[in-house]
Amino acid sequence: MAEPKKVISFRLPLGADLKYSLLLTLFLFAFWVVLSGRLEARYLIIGFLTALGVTVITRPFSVLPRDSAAGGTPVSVWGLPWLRLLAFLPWLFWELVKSSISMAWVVLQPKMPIDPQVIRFEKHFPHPVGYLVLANAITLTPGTLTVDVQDGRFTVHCVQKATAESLAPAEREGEMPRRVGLVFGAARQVDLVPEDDDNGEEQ
Amino acid sequence: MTYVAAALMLAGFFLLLVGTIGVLRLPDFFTRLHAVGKCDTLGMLLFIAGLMVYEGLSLTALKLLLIWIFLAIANPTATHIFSRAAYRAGLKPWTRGKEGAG
Repeated sequence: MAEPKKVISFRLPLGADLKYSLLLTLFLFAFWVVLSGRLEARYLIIGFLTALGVTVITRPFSVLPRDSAAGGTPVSVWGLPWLRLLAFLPWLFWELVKSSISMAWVVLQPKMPIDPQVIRFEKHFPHPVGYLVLANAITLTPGTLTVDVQDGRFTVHCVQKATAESLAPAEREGEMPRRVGLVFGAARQVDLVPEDDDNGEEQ
Repeated sequence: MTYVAAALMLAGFFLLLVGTIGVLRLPDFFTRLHAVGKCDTLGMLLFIAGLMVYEGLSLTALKLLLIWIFLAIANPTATHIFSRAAYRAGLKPWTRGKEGAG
């Protein structure tokens, strides 16, 4: 799939994500304390050593490669715009509520007004986690389901024609990619590409 | 407080029921994933939120919150993995125009 000349680097200098590693250790330690609920010194020491060990072992997994369009250098998975991501979550939760209600409405109607179709659009993020957030957010919004993400090209299955148009309108960017783009600081336009192997059948 | 918990759990129960009805009624794999991916996610989240309200402010509620966060991330991801596997294996989505053809 990938072009042979593309070089993917997983090497990240230790100092570049030391801050995140320390925070992860502290977070895991707090997690341990909450789950165990005991405050004796021996349990705390075992917990801290475990948290440290987990941080050291999982560090290679937290280094993400980036494609050449985003600079080519790898980044730490923890280097996210956390505050903007948190501000994005309430909106996403509301979308999830609306999506469940609309899905329930579609399912419970005797005629089931569905008209599934597959759309493709392209969106690039400077941080790889942006793809994850957008893909999951699309799955949770009304009537859309992320099928595939490959090099910034999203393949999305839509239950109704109207939901396809709300996600990726013909001439401007859809609401969902725009908001995730704001969170991750992305700036690249979105194209609506119709599904090509559809035998050209029109409804 | 018990009534709030009961209301949340009933709402979650209703959504899980609708998700199951959706799986039974919808025509193909992708549309069924729609039902599971949305209704079941929110259904489970509401149910656990109800349990948290019932439990009050305690260690158990905190553990339930951790399960809550994990579910909120894992459920759409799993849905996406299923649909991608089906898509790459060559499963064609059902469409209105091809009704009765396949």
